[in-house]
This record gives sequence, structure tokens and C-alpha cells, in this order.
Amino acid sequence: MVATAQTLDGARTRQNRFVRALLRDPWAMMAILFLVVVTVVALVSPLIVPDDVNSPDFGARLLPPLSDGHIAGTDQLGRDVWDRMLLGARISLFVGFVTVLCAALVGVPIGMLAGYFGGWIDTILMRLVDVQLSFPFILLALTINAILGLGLRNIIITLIIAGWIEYARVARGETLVVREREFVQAAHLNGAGSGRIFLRHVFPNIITPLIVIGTLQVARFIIAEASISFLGFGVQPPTPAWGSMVSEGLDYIFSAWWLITLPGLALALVALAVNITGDWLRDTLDPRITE
Amino acid sequence: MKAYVFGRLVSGAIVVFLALTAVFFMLRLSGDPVLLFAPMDTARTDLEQIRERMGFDDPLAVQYVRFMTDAVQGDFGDSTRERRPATEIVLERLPATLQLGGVALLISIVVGIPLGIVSATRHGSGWDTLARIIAVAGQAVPGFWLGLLLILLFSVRLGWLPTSGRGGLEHIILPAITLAALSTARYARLTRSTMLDVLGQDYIRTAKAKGLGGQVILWRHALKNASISLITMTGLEIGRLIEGAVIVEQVFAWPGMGRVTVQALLNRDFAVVMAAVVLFAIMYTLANLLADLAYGWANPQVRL
Repeated sequence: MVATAQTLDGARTRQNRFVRALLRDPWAMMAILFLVVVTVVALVSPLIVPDDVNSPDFGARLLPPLSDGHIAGTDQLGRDVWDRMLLGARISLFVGFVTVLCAALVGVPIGMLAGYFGGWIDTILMRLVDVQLSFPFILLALTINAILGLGLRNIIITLIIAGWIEYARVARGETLVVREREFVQAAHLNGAGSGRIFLRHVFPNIITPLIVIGTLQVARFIIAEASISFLGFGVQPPTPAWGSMVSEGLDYIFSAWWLITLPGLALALVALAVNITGDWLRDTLDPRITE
Repeated sequence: MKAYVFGRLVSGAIVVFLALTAVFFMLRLSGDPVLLFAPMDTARTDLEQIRERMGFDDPLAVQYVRFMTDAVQGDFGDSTRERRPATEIVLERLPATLQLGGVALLISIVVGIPLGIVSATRHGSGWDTLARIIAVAGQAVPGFWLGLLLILLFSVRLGWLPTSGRGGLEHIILPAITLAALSTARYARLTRSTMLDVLGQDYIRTAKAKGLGGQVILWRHALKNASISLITMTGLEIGRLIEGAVIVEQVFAWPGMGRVTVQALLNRDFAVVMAAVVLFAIMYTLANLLADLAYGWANPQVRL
């Protein structure tokens, strides 16, 4: 009974500490609020956006922002830019979160195994890390995407293939440290199986840096998807991803500044908010971690 | 030392070999290689001809050995589009990328480090706030978008600078600034945190107690020690600039390696892609080696 009460107290203190840390940092609070709003908008966007958002309206081509009924103007086919940006939020956030989650699901177990047992799995992993570190990430992603083929599904697979190694690397490094700590040794001597040691002793002690890296990776993957789609790979028109919207606007750079500026601004703001949140998480959860 | 460099070069070669193997098998196993290599509108009878000419009807192992034997000699076959050696095409573009990257590196060092120093020595001032805003924003702004914004402002609106291409000095200004932006943010950030670290050390206090002037302390004591991490970072930064160049070159139609690679990928010209992948890997490996050597040179406590 006493133990339970203590645990509850502990959880509450931790929660309070979190809220207080957030209140002390207005930038982090604004960033998180912004992300919540964007996420909600992304989730409900199919309900608020008219069905014919992708169909052309040649009577209303290239209207500047704040024109009648078009707060962000219209594009070269007369489609409403604001509506398309709302749908684009869905793609960016979906790509960001799903790829980070999947890359972590693949990378973390492999990294833990490599760090804990060493041996051939560790050798292979470290070679893969070497290979990955000898290429520009974007070039790796572009090559994989060119081979797999275009489209939203393939860009997600591409980013997972290009991104899981980062988690494996970090999970491995952290596991190497935790493995030598007394409580893991004690659990081992007590006869706990590897699975139990992993889940109950190692994982909880390496999760903090993984959360921080995961958050910062969300921004990196969102920008990567946009860059790849901008270059003409990844998400294809008429699907309104922010990167491909900018790319479609290129031909009208001399006449319609908003086609390039506004989707890019949305992208930069989301990436900025995610980065601020990530930095704040790092400072709050574990001041030890540095880049 | 010699043994160390040699060892690193060997492991670099192994990495390039593994990377080539990976790309080779991905290209062969992801479907019919002829469809990947041929232009989209090739007729079916031509496809068979291409299959025979490029040896895709041989067993995989034979193709692999042949590919590797050629690759070791720097031969990745002819570009399907330009009908001349892919290696030649990629090497031609190397100077343009080195020029762009070099100028960008210069800009980021000249702007980023002083910004970081001012930000650290006048901790909490307006300069400090500016440096921190640049550091945070620099990480969030996508390179392609920043480049387009600069084009919109300086080329379209003001008409001061050309939108694309390579030529005189005026051509390199916008792409170099775009490429340097992220780098500058990282230099400012690292300089600031390292200087704050160093300025809090005992020997700085001793120097102050001896009555040395602020300038002498800053240049002779603080900056000299902060330079260790800055030199190390410069090695890593070279690699990051190469990465950034892939996108920036595309935005400004800068005829470098990044652009030729992206165009080759769009045209499914995989001979050129292979050659570019290898050259990128070699440049990366050399940059990483340079970073390690510089670290050992700047910090004699580290033995390589």
C-alpha cells in the first residue's frame, strides 16, 4: 500500500515538474500548442476542405492571397492554396511521425541486441553505420526512392530504410553503457532471461535519449520528404504535399510568389516548432544529453 | 600515424565496396533492370536488344563480378542519355561543386564564428538573441525554400542577381548563401557553447587575476582552446555541405555533382548514378579522415 502511494506521488511530482518546466518556457509552450493545432487541423482537414479541392477551376487561375474567398490565393489551375495546404499538413505530419515510429521500431531492437550481445550482429550493424555515414542522407534516400518507385507509400519506406540505422546506433551506444550497470548484472545473476532484462531493465534506461532523438528526427524527416518531393520524387501531383506544391509553383515564380512562399512557410514553421519541442524535451528530460 | 591513415583508407575502400554492392543488388532485385535502365518510352523490341547489350541476361553472379571488375577501374559504363562514360560526366562536374562548397564554407566560418564569439562574450545581449534565433531558425528552414525565397527577393523583385546557372561572381552569391545558412547556424551555436564553456574555466580566471586585458584573454587563451572543437567540426561540415549541395544545386541549376546526380536519377541513368555514388562516398570518407586528422593535430592529447 505504502509503495503504491509513493509511486503515485512520484508520478504526480514528475507531472508537476513537467508542467512547471513548460510554464517557465513560453517558446516551448507556443511550439507545442502550435503542433497540437496543426495536428488537429491535419486530422479533420478532409472534413473542412471541399471535395473538389484537386479539380481545376480555370476561371480563378493565379488569384493573389486575400482575393475573394481565397485567403492564400489560387494556383495555376485555380485550386485554393489554403485548402491544399491543410491537406498537405496531413501528409507532412503523417510522414514525419509514421517514419520516425517505424524506423525506431526497426532500429531500437537491433541496436539493443548489438549493444548487449556484441558479436556478428554488432559487426554487421557497425559496418552498415559506416556505409550510411559515407553518403549524404538525401542522396541515399533519392537513390532508394528512384529504385522503389514514386508515391507516398514508397517515400515512407524510403525514409525508414534510410533512417533506422540512426536509432540502432544510439540504442547500441546507450545499451553498451547500461549493460555494465549493477542492476543489470544483478538481474542477470538472479537468473532473469535476456528478454526480461531487455524489457524491464535496459529499455527503460535508454528510452529518454531515444525520445529526444525521435522528436528531432520528426523535423528532419518532414523536411526530407518535402525536399524529395520538391525534387520530383516522392509524393506526386495532384496530391498536395508541401514540397510538391512548391515545386509546382516554380514555373510561376515570376508571377505568383505565394505558390512558393506559403507552403514553404508552413513547412518551416512546423519544423521549427518540432525542433523547439525537441530541444525543450532534451533540457527537461535529461540535461546530460548533448548533440 | 601512417598506419592509422592507411587503415582508414582501407576501411573507406571497404565502405565504398559495400555501398556499390548494395546499389547493384537493389537495382537488379527490384524488378526488371532493363525497365530501370531504359528510357521510359523505349519500344519492346529495343528492350530485348538493350538487355543483351548490357548483359542483363547473364547469371547474377557473372553480372556482379563483371560490374565490380569494371568499377574498380573507374568504369561504370556509358550514360544511356549522353552516350559517353559516366565517370567522365560526373568528374566534369566536380570543380563546380567544390567551388560552391568552398565559398559556402568560407561564408559560414567568417559569419558564424564571430557571431558565436559575440554571443558568448556579451551573453544575454541583443547580439546573443540574434545568434540564437539564427541558430534555431537555420535548422528549421528547408534549403530549397530558402534558396527560392532569395531568388524571389534578389532576382525576381530587385533584379540584382541571376536566378540560375554558373558564370561570374554574381552567379555564386545566392547559392553559396543558401548552402552556407545551415552551416553558419551550426558554427554560431558551437562557437557560443564552447566559448561559454572555456570562459568559465579556472585558467581564464587566473589570466584575469594576473591583470591581462579582455582582448588578450579572448584571443590568446579562450579562442585558442575553443578552436579544437571548431576545427573538428569543420571536417564534419565539409560532408554536410556536400549533402546540402545536392538540393541547392538543383534549385539554382548549378552544374555540379548534386545536380547531375538528381538529373540522372530522374532520367533513370543509373550508370551516372553509380559513378556519382562512388565519388560522393570517396569525398565523404576523405572529409571524415580530414576531420579526425585535424582533431589529432589540434589536440595533441589525442593519439591516433
